[in-house]
Amino acid sequence: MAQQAVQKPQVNPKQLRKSLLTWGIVAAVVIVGSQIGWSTIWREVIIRPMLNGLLLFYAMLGHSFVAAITAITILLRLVTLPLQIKQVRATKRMSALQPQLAEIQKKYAGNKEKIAQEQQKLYQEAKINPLGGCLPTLIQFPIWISLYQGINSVLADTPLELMSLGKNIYAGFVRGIEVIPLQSVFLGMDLAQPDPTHLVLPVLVAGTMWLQQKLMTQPTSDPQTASMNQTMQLMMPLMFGYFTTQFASGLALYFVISNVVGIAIQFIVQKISDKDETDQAAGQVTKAKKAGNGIKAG
Amino acid sequence: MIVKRRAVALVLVAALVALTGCVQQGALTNPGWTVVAERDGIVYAALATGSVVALDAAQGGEVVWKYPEKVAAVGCGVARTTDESGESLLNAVYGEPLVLDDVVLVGSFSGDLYAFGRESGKPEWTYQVDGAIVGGVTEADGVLYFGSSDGKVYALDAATREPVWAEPFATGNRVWGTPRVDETRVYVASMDHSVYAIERSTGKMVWSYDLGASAPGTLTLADGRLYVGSVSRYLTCLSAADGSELWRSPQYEAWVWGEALVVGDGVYFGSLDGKMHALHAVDGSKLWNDVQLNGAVRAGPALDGESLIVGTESGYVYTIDMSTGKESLLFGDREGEKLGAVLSTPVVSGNMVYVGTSIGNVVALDLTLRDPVVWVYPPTEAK
Repeated sequence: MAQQAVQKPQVNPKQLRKSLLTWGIVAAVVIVGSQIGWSTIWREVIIRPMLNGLLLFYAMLGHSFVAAITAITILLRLVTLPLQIKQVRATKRMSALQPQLAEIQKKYAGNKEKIAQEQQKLYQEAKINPLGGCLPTLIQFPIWISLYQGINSVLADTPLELMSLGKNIYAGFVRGIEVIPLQSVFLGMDLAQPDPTHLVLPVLVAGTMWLQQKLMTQPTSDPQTASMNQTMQLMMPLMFGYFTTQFASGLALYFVISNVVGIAIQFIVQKISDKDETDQAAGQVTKAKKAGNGIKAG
Repeated sequence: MIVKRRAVALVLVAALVALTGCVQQGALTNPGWTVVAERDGIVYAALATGSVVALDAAQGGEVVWKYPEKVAAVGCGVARTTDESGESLLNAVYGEPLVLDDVVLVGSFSGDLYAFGRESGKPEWTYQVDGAIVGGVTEADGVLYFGSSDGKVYALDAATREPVWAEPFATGNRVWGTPRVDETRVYVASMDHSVYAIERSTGKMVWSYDLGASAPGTLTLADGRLYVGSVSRYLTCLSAADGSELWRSPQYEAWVWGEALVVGDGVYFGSLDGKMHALHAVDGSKLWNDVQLNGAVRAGPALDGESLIVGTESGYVYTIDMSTGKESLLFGDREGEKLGAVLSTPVVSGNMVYVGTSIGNVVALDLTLRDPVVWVYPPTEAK
């Protein structure tokens, strides 16, 4: 009987370790979550540190709620900066692949399986994870939700909100307890109430959000994606502008600060990313020159 | 295709806008809790759902009157229908109703103090202040006293609704507790960290005492002493005469918010970590060891003979023996008894206890029965 040569699949040990570690963490989180309870984990790991952090900043920064929001927003943005840089790089690399992806779509039109295969191949060659751009956003999402909840809770305009604050503040956090209730008046506006003008903050929220989205959106050759981006760029600011008329103005202020900080950070990230590209291009030119010189010399 | 996607996005945005239009500003996060009072066999309750009702306790909680009888707006967004003959629901109510001979007084988060005819349930008058009314109203010699989130304490002539003082008494922050009065003074705790004694005739301050932390609840006045809980996790006992501190409780694990109940030499109160505490009124020493209940204790206990009746945020109602601290569960563990948090003080009348829940129910419990639920309003599966 002729022996068939069995081709063993090649395993990259580094990749394997990374995968095992990732799945190990996921499994541990699922087991711990189901044992302790997801709401408890959310409260203890996310909400309470955020809320107490806000109170600490408030106590340290001259009892100014606006200063506290600004400080914590900047801090969180800085903590998540590496993720944002990763996201911008991934988005840029994906944008660069757009013409080739369009070509694949055109070439194998009607054969979805083949398109998927070719796309996968292209991603592998370019060392891109197509979900890489989403992951940082997903990780940042709980942070923003908790900050939103934290702001709502520390303003504690109603007894139910104050009760929630009472249960979430750390027992030994004396400085935090001393500053309750927070001074919520800023420029004559009660931050626990919606903007009385119904105009100033909604316009600021919508305007800054539009600008931030405009800066973050990468140009694309796909007309459908471009159209979608354009719609989102308009709709999201309009939606948030409208929500601002309904929510506490403290939250609106947070949206504005977060957007402004986001714009500034986007600038920095863009600069870093552009510099990387320039360095890479320069490196390639140098390599090419060296190679060219080598040929000549030979 | 592109036009279609834009149309879908527009429809989604419109739907969101329409949905958020369903609720009044703040109503999403501020439903209030159900507060109850009883007089002459009629239970008066401001429900967390925005209505005020009078229920005949002996007739299984039959409705004597309800306000509003007909709600002006029903449904949400484009499906909202408006009935011109209807009335608006009340904004959140947190303070217990005050039942006088002719009217029932209810303060609302909108800043309106409502007076409903005790017999008719029709609004007789309303009085509006600048801030939310969170605490209850106290009446003494025809004058109504109440606090507000605008930091002021108001004194109104109950008959004329004219202010009694030249100006409301201003504290530095919200006044969420119900004022307490004696012959000559009004006492309030404010969230500006202080307790105030105010001259009843003039509205001028007699003394103030800095607790060092906010006091969101109602203080207790008994035998010339004031007992006030605060977010600093103490219960502090002050002399009503001059505001000097007589003693301070041990520091607990959580805020002391609910009103303390003083009976003889005992002071009984709860904290947000679900513990009930009992101290000697004389010196603040421990009467019995803290009792752990299931759920935060936000409100003060009620008194039934030798027992305390306490509600918790987890929806349980307990009886606690005042002399030993031994607790037993009265309500909350049987099927159908999950009716939301109990965040207001239960009301005791004879053998009956009336409890308001955070989802807008009033539960009548008979302390002598093994299965104590007599009726629930609005009727549910609990009975």
